[in-house]
Amino acid sequence: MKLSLRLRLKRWHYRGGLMTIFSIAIFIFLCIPLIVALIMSVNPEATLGYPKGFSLKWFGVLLNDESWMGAYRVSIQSAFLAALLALVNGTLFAFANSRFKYRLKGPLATLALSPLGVPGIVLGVGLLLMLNPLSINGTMSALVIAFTVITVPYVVRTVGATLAVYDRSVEEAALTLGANEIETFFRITLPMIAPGLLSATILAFVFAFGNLQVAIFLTGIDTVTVPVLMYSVLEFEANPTIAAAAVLNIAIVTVALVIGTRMVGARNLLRF
Amino acid sequence: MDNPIADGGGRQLSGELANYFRGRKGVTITALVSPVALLLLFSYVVPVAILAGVSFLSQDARGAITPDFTLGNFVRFFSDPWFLFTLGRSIRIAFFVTLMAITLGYVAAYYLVFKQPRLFEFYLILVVAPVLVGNVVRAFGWQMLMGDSGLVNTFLWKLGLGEHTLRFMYTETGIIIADASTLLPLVILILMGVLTRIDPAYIEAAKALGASGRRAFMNVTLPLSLSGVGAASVICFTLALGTFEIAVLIGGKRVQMIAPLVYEQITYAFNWTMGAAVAMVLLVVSVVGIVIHDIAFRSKK
Amino acid sequence: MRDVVSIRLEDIVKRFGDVKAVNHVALTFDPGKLYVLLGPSGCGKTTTLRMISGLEELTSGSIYIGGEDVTNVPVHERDLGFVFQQYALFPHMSVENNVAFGLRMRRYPSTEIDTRVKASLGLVQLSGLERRRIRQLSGGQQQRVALARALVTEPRALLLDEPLSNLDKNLRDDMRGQIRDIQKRLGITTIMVTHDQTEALSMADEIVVMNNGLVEQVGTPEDIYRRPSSLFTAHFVGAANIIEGIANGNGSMVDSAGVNYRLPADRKSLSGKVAMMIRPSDIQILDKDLVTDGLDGTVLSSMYFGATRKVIVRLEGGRDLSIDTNERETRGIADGDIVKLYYETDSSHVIRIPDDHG
Ligand SMILES: Nc1ncnc2c1ncn2[C@@H]1O[C@H](COP(=O)(O)OP(=O)(O)OP(=O)(O)O)[C@@H](O)[C@H]1O
Ligand SMILES: [Mg+2]
Repeated sequence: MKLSLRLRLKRWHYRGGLMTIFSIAIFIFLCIPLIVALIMSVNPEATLGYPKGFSLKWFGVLLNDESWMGAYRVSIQSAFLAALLALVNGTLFAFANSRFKYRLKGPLATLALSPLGVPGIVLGVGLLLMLNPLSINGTMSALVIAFTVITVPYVVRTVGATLAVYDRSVEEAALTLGANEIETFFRITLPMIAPGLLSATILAFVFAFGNLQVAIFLTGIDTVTVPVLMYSVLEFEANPTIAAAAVLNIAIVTVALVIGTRMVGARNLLRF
Repeated sequence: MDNPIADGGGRQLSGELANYFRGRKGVTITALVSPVALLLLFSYVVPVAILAGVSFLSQDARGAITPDFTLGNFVRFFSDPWFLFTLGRSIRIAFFVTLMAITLGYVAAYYLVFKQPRLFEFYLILVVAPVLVGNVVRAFGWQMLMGDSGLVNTFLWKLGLGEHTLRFMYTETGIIIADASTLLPLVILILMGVLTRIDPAYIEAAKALGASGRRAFMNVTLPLSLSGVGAASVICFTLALGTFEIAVLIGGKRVQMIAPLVYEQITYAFNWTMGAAVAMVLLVVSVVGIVIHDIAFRSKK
Repeated sequence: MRDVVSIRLEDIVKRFGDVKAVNHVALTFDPGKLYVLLGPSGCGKTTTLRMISGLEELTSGSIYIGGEDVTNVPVHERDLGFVFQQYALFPHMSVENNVAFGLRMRRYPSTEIDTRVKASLGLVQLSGLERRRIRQLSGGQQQRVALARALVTEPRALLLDEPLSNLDKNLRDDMRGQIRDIQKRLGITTIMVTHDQTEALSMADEIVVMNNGLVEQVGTPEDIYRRPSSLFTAHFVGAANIIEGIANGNGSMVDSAGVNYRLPADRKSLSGKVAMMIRPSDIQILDKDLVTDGLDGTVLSSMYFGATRKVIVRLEGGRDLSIDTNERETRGIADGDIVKLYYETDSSHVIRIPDDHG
């Protein structure tokens, strides 16, 4: 049976054809700046523009550049430490809030999530004003503290959501089988909330790693982070090294996402 | 209540765990909660309080902050047309960014939740990856796309449509497009959360009662998701107001926004107290947005 | 060899805020028997079981296991097996590791763990599924893993909280037999919670009927079914026709419509307010022409259930009785038929109604 074009179009529309195309266009719209960075990074010439050839030489330049590599060291170290601190403390906090009632619970829970709604610049200036007189500004500690504050909300939210759907009778079963509270926590509770902890850690690391707005006020000469360095390069002397750096960042995030999705699945990692 | 220990759902924490914690409950809670509480206090509450305090001080001729209370910074902000214009422009840009991000975000979220495409997980990663890569990289990408000889114009030129160069760089349009793309993932995730919670039975019921797909959407899905759209809008608006990377790298000096203004006051003009005052204005406008949303949402209940 | 222990509850109370979930319960569970706690939803069955296990703290009272006061002994030292309604299996472990968990906590050597896990999975007919993940099991298999996990440590007693309520009917019938069988073989003191009366009647050595945090009656299934001590039990366990009336002390009672009923032999001397219970299956429907004795009535309605037929008959005084008959005996019965009802006096049961009763 031959359908008229009009009917076929209509059917296609009902099956969501238009919406599919529109949505895919939106996903491309989201990713296009990353694609652009990929394209720019293989330019053999020293200008930032549409490449007329193919070369990986800027990756070589990047990897041999002491200031870039220093920035990666600083960023990875500070983001990692902050993610760890946020994970441990945020988990304890989320645990307490899911199991107990105490007087300041509501206000504290709101406070712990509220950094999400404060413009990064505001927090950055505030930290600068506080840390500068203490002369720890420009140190690794300053970065770690700042990154911990901005990542703790992600941990509290993710781990809190994990604990909220957690079936506590499983812990009780362990107790009836002769495990004490501590054995129960390490053998049952912890492994069961591990996916939540893992995704919280990955999110915390990645957000700390990519942060500019707070870090830009707190970096010192020896503690320039990758986003801060990128920002200053873009402001003053852009060349394809920065595209290579952008691609390296994309690679780091992709690896984190792949590890995460392999271990807990995309839906769990991103809580869908 | 004679048993003060209870879990989040309001049901009392019972049994062995309660036993275990009863004697040591206060100590246990303090030990679990205080690290985060102290962290928030000393690296969030105190800095913001200091910021608020400094915004009411002034600096002497050598740039040192003097402990004299003054409203001068705020008076200057609200009497200087440039500052006011910058604030107005930031609000305008944030408004259009929100409009664009919510519209596009709703379509994408609806698609992901209700059409459940085969590549769901892949799309989810496409949505999230740009956020994780960070704003600087994304702003860089947009800069490369939007320049007068950037990829978009090069492409148009190659198609033979190059007589009129499209101007994105140093325009509000450019900022809005790039910023909407930057904030879209968050909007999509929030709206997905809202749409996932709508019971498909409602929509089925509407259709079973003879509503067309469009009517079912207009009368059921859309109204049920409106509160979520409100929340997403507020969050998006707040973040757009604080736009920094895109504003600097796409807008440059020509399209000044408020977050870069804070940075410039502090880093280039060494005017710390003025910078703090501008930051306070930014913070207050953000908080006002959240409060308005809260009130609107509560009065609806 | 495992100890076979008794469990004694001494006046135990559990309050949740204002709710008295368990209200002064005193009970003794004899060694080696299977007890069923039966009662409507919210009557405190689960709470009682959890207090015995130690998962719930007592508001007051004490609990003895094997003569030892365990009121303040924590759960993990009580050495009792517990099967949860939702099974509460460890989702991140294989079947084998679930079952081995209790043995590991008791620091058994690994060779012994292996043999015990094998034996225990054999007992519940799950051999061969050792390496499966919990997700990959059916409901019935999960239920049996939970049972094996609870039994493998040879606990002093077994506590089961509605272990069969998540299974479909056929599987439930099958598992009833299996649990009963295992319990008998191991001779382990067992307390099982259910709100399903058929389950209670078919499995229990003794049934504890609970209502509103109180124990209504303790007895064998036959006691509970044939000789309920209260109207609550009569209604809750099995269907019942209840006829309230006044006994006059000389072997009969009169109901409000003035109809006379003879009392069963063991209750002839009763007098005062009483209620007579006649089970629907104890009444026979006879052709009015065949007998002269019996109660006169008219068929109001009937419902077909396959092997049985439920018939509602209105007596002359206006009272409706429900009757379960063998479907063959009442084939062809029609609404409006005039019939005679017959039951043996001694199959009825009479409950004295306390004077303060509403
Ligand atoms: N942790 C708790 N907090 C507050 N109230 C509770 C708690 N546990 C039980 N209750 C209340 O105690 C009463 C008895 O509950 P229990 O769970 O023992 O009933 P049950 O007989 O097991 O019922 P079901 O057959 O529905 O399982 C109920 O009113 C219940 O609401
Ligand atoms: Mg129960």
